[in-house]
Amino acid sequence: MLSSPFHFPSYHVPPETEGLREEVREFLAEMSSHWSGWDIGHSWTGFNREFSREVGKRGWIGMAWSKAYGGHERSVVERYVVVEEMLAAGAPVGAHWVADRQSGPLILRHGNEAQKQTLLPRIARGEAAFCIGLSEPDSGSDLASLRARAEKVSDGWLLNGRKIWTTYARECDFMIGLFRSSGSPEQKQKGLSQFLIDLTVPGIEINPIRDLTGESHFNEIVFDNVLLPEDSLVGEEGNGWAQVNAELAYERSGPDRYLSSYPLLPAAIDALNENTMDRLSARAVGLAFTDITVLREMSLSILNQLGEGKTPLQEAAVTKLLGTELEQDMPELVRSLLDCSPSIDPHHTLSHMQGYLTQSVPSFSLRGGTNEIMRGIIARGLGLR
Amino acid sequence: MTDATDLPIGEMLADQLQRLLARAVDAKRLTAIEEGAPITELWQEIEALGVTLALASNDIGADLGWQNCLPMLRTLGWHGAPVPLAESLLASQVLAAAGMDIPAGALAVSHVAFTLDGDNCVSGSDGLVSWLPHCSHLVGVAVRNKQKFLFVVSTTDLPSQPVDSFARIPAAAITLQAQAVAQCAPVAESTDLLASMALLRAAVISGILDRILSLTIEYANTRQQFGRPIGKFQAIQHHVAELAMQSAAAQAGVIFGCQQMDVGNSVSGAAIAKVRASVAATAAASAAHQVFGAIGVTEEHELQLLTRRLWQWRGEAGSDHFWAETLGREVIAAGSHNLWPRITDAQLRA
Repeated sequence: MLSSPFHFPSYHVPPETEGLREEVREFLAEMSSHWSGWDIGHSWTGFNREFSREVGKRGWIGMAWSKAYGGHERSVVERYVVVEEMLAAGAPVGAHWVADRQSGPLILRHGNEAQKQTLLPRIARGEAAFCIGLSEPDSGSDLASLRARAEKVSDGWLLNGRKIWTTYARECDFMIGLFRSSGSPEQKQKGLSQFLIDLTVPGIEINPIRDLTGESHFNEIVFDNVLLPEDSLVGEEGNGWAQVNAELAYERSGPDRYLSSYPLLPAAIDALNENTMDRLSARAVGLAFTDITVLREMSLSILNQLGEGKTPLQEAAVTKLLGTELEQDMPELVRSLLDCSPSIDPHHTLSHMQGYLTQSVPSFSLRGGTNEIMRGIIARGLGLR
Repeated sequence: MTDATDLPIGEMLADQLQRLLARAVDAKRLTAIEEGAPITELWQEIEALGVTLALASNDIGADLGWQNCLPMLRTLGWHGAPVPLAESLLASQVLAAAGMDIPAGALAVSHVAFTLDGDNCVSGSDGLVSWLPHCSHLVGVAVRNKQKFLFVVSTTDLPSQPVDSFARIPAAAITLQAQAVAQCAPVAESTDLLASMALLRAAVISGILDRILSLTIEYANTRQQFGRPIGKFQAIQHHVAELAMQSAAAQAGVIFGCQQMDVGNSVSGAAIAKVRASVAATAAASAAHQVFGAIGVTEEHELQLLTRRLWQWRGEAGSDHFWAETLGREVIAAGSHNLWPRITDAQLRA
C-alpha cells in the first residue's frame, strides 16, 4: 500500500516573530565584535557565563516555561527563532545550552516543586549551568549497559561509579545523571533513574580530558560514595530510560543538529567573492544552501508535530543524521572551495574557524547518538530486525 | 483503510488515482508502454477521474494549488508515472491562466525558449520532449519582442525525431521552423515552464523513492543469506537507512517547493526541490541496487523500472547540478550578510 514512513507537513514560522528575530540579531551584532573565528567555531559548545547572563536578562532562556518558575511563557517557535539566530552567528551559548534545551524541560516535566522553584529561575537568568551524565567508560553506544549505581539509603541516595565524555562538567553547577537504582547491567534499560546532582557535594572528582584541539571540554567524573538528598531523584524511580528517550525527538531535531558549523559558509562566500567564482564552486554552495533550507523545513516540521502532541522519533532520527552529515562536511566543503592552507591564523576569521572546526567535526556524528546507532534506529523503525 | 471522505481534497484525489493505477499498472504494463504500447485507454480512465485539471484555475479546473496536487504526483511516481499526467496538469494550468482553450488528449510540455514571429509561427528546438508521441498537443513558451507567449501546436505535423532515454518513455526531439500554432496568447513574464516542470519531476521522484524504500524493506526482510534475512546485517540496515533519509529529505524538499510555488516564489522553491530530490534520487538508486544485488539489475525485476526513471527525472527540467549552480550563483552574488536572512525568509508568507 502506498505510503511513506515519514511525515514532514510544512510549518511556517509566524511572521509575528520577526520583531524578536530582529532584536536577537541586533543583540548579536553588538556582542559578536570580540569573537574570534576559533570562538565562533565552538558554536553551542562555547562556554561563556557572562554571555549567558546577558541572554537571560533579555528573557531568552526558558522562554516557553511558566512565569511562576522564572520562564517567559512564550511559544516554542519563538525559542526556535532565538536559538537558530544564536547558532547562525556562532554565539557562545554553551553555559545555558544544556539547561535550556534539556535539563530545564526535564525538571519542568518530572521535577518536584522544590526543584522547580529553586532551579528553573536560576537557569532562566543564565546562572545555573547543567551537564548530562550518561556515558561511562564501559558504556558508550551501548548506553543501557551502564553500571554507575544509586543505592537507596536511609537519608537519601548513595552514588558510586564513573561518568565520562561529560562536556563542561568542571564549569557546570549541576548534572542530570542516569544511574542504576536497581537490578544489574544485564537488565539493560530496566532499573535506571535520573538524578539531579549538585556538583559541589563531597565525593565527586572531576578529571578533565584534553582533546585533539588542545582544549578540555570533556571530563571524567568519579562518584565515590556521594550522598544525595532523597528528593534528588528526578521523575520516577526506574523510569529513567523512558524519561531520557522522551526528550530525544527534541534533542535530535533542533537547529543544533545542522547549524554547528554554519558560520563557515558565509565566511567562505566572502572569500569566494574576492576571487572569480567558477561553476563547481557555485554548485557546491547552491547544494549546501539547499541542504540547509530543507533541513530547516524538516526541523520546523518536527517542532510543530511535537507541539501537536505527536512523537516523530523516526523523523527526528533522519533529520539528525542528515544534519550532522551536513555540518560535518562543511570544513571539507570550505577546503574544496578555497584550498585552505593547513595553517591556523588567529588574525584571519575563516582560517581560525576552519582550524577549530576541522578538528572538532569528528565528534558531531558521535554526540547525541552515533550515526551508526541512528541508522540502526531508523532501520528498526522501518521494520528491519 | 481511511475513508476517503475524511481526507483533504489532495489526499482524496491521490487515493482515487492510487486505486486506478494499482489496478491498471504493473511491471508488465510499464514495460509495454516503454516498448511503445498505446496509453489511450489508461489516459481516458485518468481523465474520467477529473484529476487532469486539478491545477487549472477556477472556472475551468479545480485550482487546487501545488500543495494539494503533491499527494497525487507522489502517487504517480509510486506507480512509475506511466502517463504524462504531470505535464498535462501543468499545461492545463498555464493554458487556463492565459484564457486559452485546453485541447483534448494528453499534453506534452517543452520548457525551452522558442521564438514567435509576426505571423504567430514558432521556431526553436528541444532535444527531449518526454511523451510527445502519445500527446495530442505540445505546449510551450515563445518570445516575441520581449513579450512571452504561451503557444499550443498540434503534434500531428510536428517535425520530430524519436529519442532514446533512460526511462524509455516514448520521447522525441523537435525542431520547429516557423511552425503554425493552434493557439497563442501573451502571458506574464513570470511564466516559467522550466521551474514548474522541475518541481513536477521532483515531486514524482519523491513518490518513486517512497516505493523503492518500501520494496527494499520488503526484500531485506525476506531474502535469506547466511541463514537469516539480509536485513539483519548492519551493513544492509545502513543502506536502508540511507535510502530512508534520502526519501525523507526529498519529501521535505518537494513539500517546500510546492508551498513556495503556491505563494508565488516559484523559481527558488522549485530549484531547491529539484536539487534535493535529484541528489536523493542518485543516492537512493545506488543504495537500493546494492541491497537487491544482481536480481535488481535484471530486466525482469521491477527495481530497474523505477531506478531508470530516477536517472531520467533527476536530469530533466534542469538537473541538480544546473539548479544548484543557479542557486549558488545567486547566493554568492548576494553576499555573506544576506545568506542567513535568505534562509530564514525562505518561507514566504501568503
